[in-house]
Formats: sequence, C-alpha cells, structure tokens
Amino acid sequence: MALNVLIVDDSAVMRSMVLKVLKMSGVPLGEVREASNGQEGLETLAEYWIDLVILDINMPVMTGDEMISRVRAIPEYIDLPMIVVSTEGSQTRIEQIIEQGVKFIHKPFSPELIRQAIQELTGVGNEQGS
Amino acid sequence: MNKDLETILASVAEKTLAELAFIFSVSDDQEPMPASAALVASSVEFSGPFSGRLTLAVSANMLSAIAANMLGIDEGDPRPLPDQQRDALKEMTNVVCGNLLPRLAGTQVVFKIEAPDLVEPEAIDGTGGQRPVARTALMLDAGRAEFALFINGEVPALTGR
Repeated sequence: MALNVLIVDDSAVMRSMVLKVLKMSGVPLGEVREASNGQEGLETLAEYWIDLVILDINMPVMTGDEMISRVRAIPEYIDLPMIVVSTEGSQTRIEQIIEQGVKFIHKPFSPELIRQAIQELTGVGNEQGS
Repeated sequence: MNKDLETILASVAEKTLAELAFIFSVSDDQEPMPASAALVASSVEFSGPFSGRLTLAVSANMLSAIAANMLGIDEGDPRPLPDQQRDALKEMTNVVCGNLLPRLAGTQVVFKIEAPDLVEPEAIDGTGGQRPVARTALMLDAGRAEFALFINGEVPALTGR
C-alpha cells in the first residue's frame, strides 16, 4: 500500500528535507502534498485523501497544535496517523503533544526513525524498495 | 566567554550540521571569523527560564553547501535558489537552537523559540553592547560557520548535561 502523505511546515526547505528522508526511508509513497501552515493543511485534508500527516508545531497562521486539535475534532480523522517533527526539547511539551494521539520525532531525524514511526502508526513500511 | 557553554554549543552545532545537512565539520580554534567575511547571518530568539538568541553566520560557499545538502541537490544540478539558501540557513539556526536549550537547561523546562530571521553578519559580534557568552567556529570543506550564543542577564547554571 502506498501512502498519500501531507507535509506541513512553514519552511519550504524543511518540507523538501522531510520528503527526501521519506524517500530514503523506503516507505512506499503515493501522492505527496505540502502545506505551509495548519490552515493550509486543513484545506488540503478537506480536498484530498491523505493517509499520513507529518507536521511541524511552530508555524504562523495556524500552529501544529491547533491543526491537530481541529483534525481530531473531525470524526473521520479521529484516527488519522500524524507525526510531529519538531525541535521541541521540553519533555513536558512533548508529552502534551503525544497526548493528542500523535507520534513525536525530534529534528534532525533519520530515515530509519521515520520509517519506524510510520510502521508503528500505519503498519506500512515493510515493503522497502517496492 | 564561558568555556562550558562553548563546548556544548560546538558539540550541538557539529551534530546538527552532520544530521541535518550531512556536513561533517571540525571545531576551528582560530580567531573568530571577522563579520566582514560572512555573507549572511540568521538569528533566532528564545525565552523561558532564561532568554537570549543564537546567531549563525556563514560565508557564501557555506550557505550554498548547507542548502544543497539539506535539499539533496547533487553536484552538477542547478544550485539552490537564493530563497532556498536563506530558508536553509534559518532552519539550521532554528534546529541548533532547539537542540541546544535542553543541553543547557534540561528537558523539564519549556522555552518559546521565535521564528528565525535573517540579520546583518555584524550581529555575530553582538549589538547594543551585548557580547556573546559563547562562540564557536566550525571548519568545513565549503568554508566556515560561526555560531554565537547571547543570553540576557546572568548566565544560568547548566543543568542539562
């Protein structure tokens, strides 16, 4: 199964980096879409079928925290796999983020780390190289 | 300058450059790079148990190398666009800052890290009479990168190591 992925980060370079690492991870990818803040992310979710969201927390217009809350308030997205990729270093804050039903990965991160997180969330990712 | 802070800053900067941009560097013990030798600099402010900012200044070649490596651009491909280069520098500053603060203050406290901004290269020396509490230069194939940490008020006790 190829995953349709939405990458949400206000840095275009970081979005490109996330995509590069995703490709290196061997996780089968379908359509990959990008958004530069939580609001754009919600709009993309409303328009396209997305299997996995990878998002930052500190973004203008709408933060990752708010996007997660809004996504979780939509019944059909209550279990949507989401991975936060952030520089956040506070264990207190990381625990708050995880309590929203998402995985947390600290920047910078390796292809192995993101593949493991995706496997745990979706069961997809064993098909490396396919 | 605070030697303990400089050791931590150098360690975090080296590790982040390697993991984020696949650039492997060594600490450069020579004199700090004159601000005039830097093409561009980025700075990110933080607040929490203590406040301050982290500034990163790089030469032109270094800026291009960071962006190209972060984007996965191979040799022979078109060079990163100026916007991409500036974005990469800001993101590098942001990630180093995010990884530095827990090393200084531990993981139980919360810092707010602002969006990084481009600043004049002279900001590496300090503005308004404020001097950096720690400064480190990294030597790379593509040139030098220099980080300066500024803390407002007293330098805090290090509790994160």
